[in-house]
Amino acid sequence: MDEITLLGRAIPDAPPPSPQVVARARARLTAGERRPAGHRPPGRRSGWTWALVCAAATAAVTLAVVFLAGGPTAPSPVTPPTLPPTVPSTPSVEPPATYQGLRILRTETSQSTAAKITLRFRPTSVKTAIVLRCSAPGSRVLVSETHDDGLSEASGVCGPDGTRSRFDDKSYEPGWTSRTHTVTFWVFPPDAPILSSRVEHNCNRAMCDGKHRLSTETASTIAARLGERPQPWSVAVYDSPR
Amino acid sequence: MVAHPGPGPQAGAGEWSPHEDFSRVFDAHFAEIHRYIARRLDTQTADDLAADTFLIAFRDRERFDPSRGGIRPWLYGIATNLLARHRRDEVRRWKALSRTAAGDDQESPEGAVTAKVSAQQVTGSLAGALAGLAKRDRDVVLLLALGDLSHAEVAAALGVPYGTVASRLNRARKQLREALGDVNPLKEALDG
Repeated sequence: MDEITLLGRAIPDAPPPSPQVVARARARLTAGERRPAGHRPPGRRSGWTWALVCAAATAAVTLAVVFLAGGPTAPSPVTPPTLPPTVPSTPSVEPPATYQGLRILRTETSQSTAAKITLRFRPTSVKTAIVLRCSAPGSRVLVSETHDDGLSEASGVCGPDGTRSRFDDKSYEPGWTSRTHTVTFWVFPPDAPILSSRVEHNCNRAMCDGKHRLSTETASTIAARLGERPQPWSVAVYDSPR
Repeated sequence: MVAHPGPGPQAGAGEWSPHEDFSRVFDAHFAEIHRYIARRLDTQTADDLAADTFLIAFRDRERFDPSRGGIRPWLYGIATNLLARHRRDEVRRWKALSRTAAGDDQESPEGAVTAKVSAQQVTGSLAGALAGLAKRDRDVVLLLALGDLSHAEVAAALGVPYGTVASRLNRARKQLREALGDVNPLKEALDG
């Protein structure tokens, strides 16, 4: 018996995962199957933080946050539209009335970036989708919600090609339909001085190299620094019909 | 000395590919990945990190290259990367275990009179040594000890050359042995 074998025996063993834990992990995978392989969630966090303090999954809530740009149709991996050089045009961000069979529950549109929208909604079912549409490809997004367990936030990019994201952890929050949710969305222009999620990992301060960490603490500061820009975006909450 | 490098880990014949059926990968390996994380941190954290491991693996399944290693090293590598975010928690765990285990030994008359050195008796010393290891060395040691990976699989899991695993392991072994008091309890345990 060498040191490694001894070490393996000396470290206390752990109980196997409970069926609920396995079920929750499997459900996250099921939710993830809707996303193409190789795609990563936006932002530095794997999901909404509050899910980490949740107990085992009790409902198969599906909360999809979809970042879209380029119009109300379903996302399609196409190149940005070719526009006449002399006719400036802004892709529509008007949300469609339905999304993947879900009906629209709440929606709001902002005419400028470096601005925020706060939506209050109470889901009527365990199937909920949140869809952001940004006219400026590469817009930076911050989503946050304050609740009893603290603050949950996630950041990402409003992509030009219908990039999708899903805050998987959020999908398994117990009591999803039993309370009103107040979620704040910030959208910043693509050239905003915001650290990329990759660089952010190596930055322990609020700012590095003149760029901010994107969080609820810094969003207002970044917005004030930039000033609003005429780049429309919208957010819509979809829910399953009863 | 470490084992012969061999040809490196391969996805064995008959080992399914995550490209084809990820649910089988999940069914086959979720519990062991959970156990690995739970032994390094705690069960509650393992609940989340194990799920994260498979979610990341699923999303990156197209990047999985069987020629660079099997599925187990791939999954253990992802889990180990996730564990890096909890480095301080892990060190605290090893330190706490070091203190707890030492206390248990003192309170146990059986432990005091037993000549044979068992794995449990050296838990405190080893846990303390683990806390003092560099993370990269600790990863190597624990992938071997808890993940039961081969040296080549550890190299694949961590994305480092085989020789790097060997050097890290030798360094860690030395520290572990020093923590055990240089009395070679390993030999005593064998000799009984």
